[in-house]
Amino acid sequence: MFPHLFNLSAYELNQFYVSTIETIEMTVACGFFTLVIGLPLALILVATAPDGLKPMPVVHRVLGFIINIFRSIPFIILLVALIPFTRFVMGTFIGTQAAILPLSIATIPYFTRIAEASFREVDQSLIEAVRAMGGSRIAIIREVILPESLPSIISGFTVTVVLIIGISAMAGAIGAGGLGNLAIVYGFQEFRYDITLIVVVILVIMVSIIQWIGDYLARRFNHRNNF
Amino acid sequence: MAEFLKPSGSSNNTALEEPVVMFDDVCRIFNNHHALSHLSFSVQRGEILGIIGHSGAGKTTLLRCLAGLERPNTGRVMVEGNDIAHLPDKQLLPLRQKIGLVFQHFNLLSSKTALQNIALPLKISGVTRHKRLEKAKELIELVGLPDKANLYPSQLSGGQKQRIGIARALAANPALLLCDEATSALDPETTRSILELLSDINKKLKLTIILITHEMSVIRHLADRVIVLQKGKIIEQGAVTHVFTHPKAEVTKQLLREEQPYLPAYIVEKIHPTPQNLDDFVILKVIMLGSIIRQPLIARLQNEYGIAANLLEGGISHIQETPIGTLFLLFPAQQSQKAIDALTQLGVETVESLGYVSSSI
Repeated sequence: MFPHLFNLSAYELNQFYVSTIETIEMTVACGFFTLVIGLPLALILVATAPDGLKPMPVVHRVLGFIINIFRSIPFIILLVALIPFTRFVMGTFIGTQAAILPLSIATIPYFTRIAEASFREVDQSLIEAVRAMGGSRIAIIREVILPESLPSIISGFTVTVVLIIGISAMAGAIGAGGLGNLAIVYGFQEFRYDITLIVVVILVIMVSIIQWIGDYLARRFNHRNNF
Repeated sequence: MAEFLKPSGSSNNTALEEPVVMFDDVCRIFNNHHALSHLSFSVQRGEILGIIGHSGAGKTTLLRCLAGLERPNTGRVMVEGNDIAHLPDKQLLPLRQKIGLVFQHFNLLSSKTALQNIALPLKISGVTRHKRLEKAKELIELVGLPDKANLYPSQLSGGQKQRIGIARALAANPALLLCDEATSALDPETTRSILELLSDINKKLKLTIILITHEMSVIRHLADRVIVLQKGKIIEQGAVTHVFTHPKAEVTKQLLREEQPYLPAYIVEKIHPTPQNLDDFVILKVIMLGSIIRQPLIARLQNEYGIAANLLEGGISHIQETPIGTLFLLFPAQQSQKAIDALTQLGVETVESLGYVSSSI
């Protein structure tokens, strides 16, 4: 039934190593861009909301609309649709580095919404308290919104990183490298179920480690209850 | 007490100074509803003012106007000579620090330790790290929790959180401490200790305090003067001892009722406006204020006037250091006028006849 099961050549073993590194590369780079772009966007969304620190209805609505557009397109379709744009910006759409751009475009709106929800959860009366102390908007963001939402942001970012691993595997279908590519090219197209299985195990291990680190950090920074 | 803990410009000479806070004909209107209607009052330095009213009376709006979080539609809100109702936002920020706010639900930042919470107003106004921590340590000692400095709010009890909240409110040397239902979320024991702390701070720092509350007991413990709010208007105001003994407005009486002894309903039901039988009794409500309470009133009625009084209900409470006694006394109906005259001669505050009951009560 599985003629090739665990009969791996040295080349194939090396492919696991290379693909894992590529997936980590994509995840780290895409995670980085998602964080540094998504967090400020989420802050702008919360601050410009009608009940926000500086209500700006037009900015709020336009930004929200753009995010909704990207959020409503399924990832695999978005990745395909972005191929011309990727080729224009990066020169190519094949390979790990080229995949970082469409991956980030797919995950930034996702994380922005998650972070926005975390920021919104911050107790309004704390903001009021710091406002009453004479705190400026910047002080409110720095002293209240960011630190108070930190555990929730860490949890949300952990979910996002796991998602990035998932869609980076999808990106394998349109020419990105990494574990997804390995599973599709060898596992699916050459019927090597053993390779698919090992890819799955590696992904499970990666996701577990990330979730564990995320949970640990979220707990570490949460002072709301005694754990 | 360290010198720098004292609020700027404090002095004992209150009479000649301008008021710390002055509301001048303030109106705040929401959708045609007057939350505050032509409100005028002022607070002198070192004074403790209580503002009381039922929910919806305008207490919260008043507080938000005073804290500079909301602007009135008309009128002036003066804090140390600055009209905070009309200042542009930029100039309002530093002025907000003149008012230390103490909240019902403490509003401490969960991500900061007790000490960091106390130091936050100083951090916001740009005080260096070393100086603000030094001041925060001073304040955490003032509120009696130096050993809790590095704990997070979730590790503190309600009363401890409120002590940290008070210390934080004091950090920026405010001209005024504004307490918004500061004890409403605390149990009676903790409430008492927080009120004592506030009283201490008022005496030590000569700090002006405004208490906003719906509990008469808080006012009774702490305030010098009280303002009773109803529907956005001042309905009664004056020295606490006076308002408590001579309440005029129905709201005031109602708020006071739970504070002072009252006749149980089963007796009130049996009261007649006129005597029905020869052996009926009259019920006199007697209010005594101050040192007269130390006298053996009932014994003196017996010895000096030959009137036998019978105690039906009563109690003594204290408005700060002034005792106030409320007694419901029973006398034979024929001696009614004699008893009233005797009590007046003995120097009680008020005597009031409530009516007659039969001897079988």
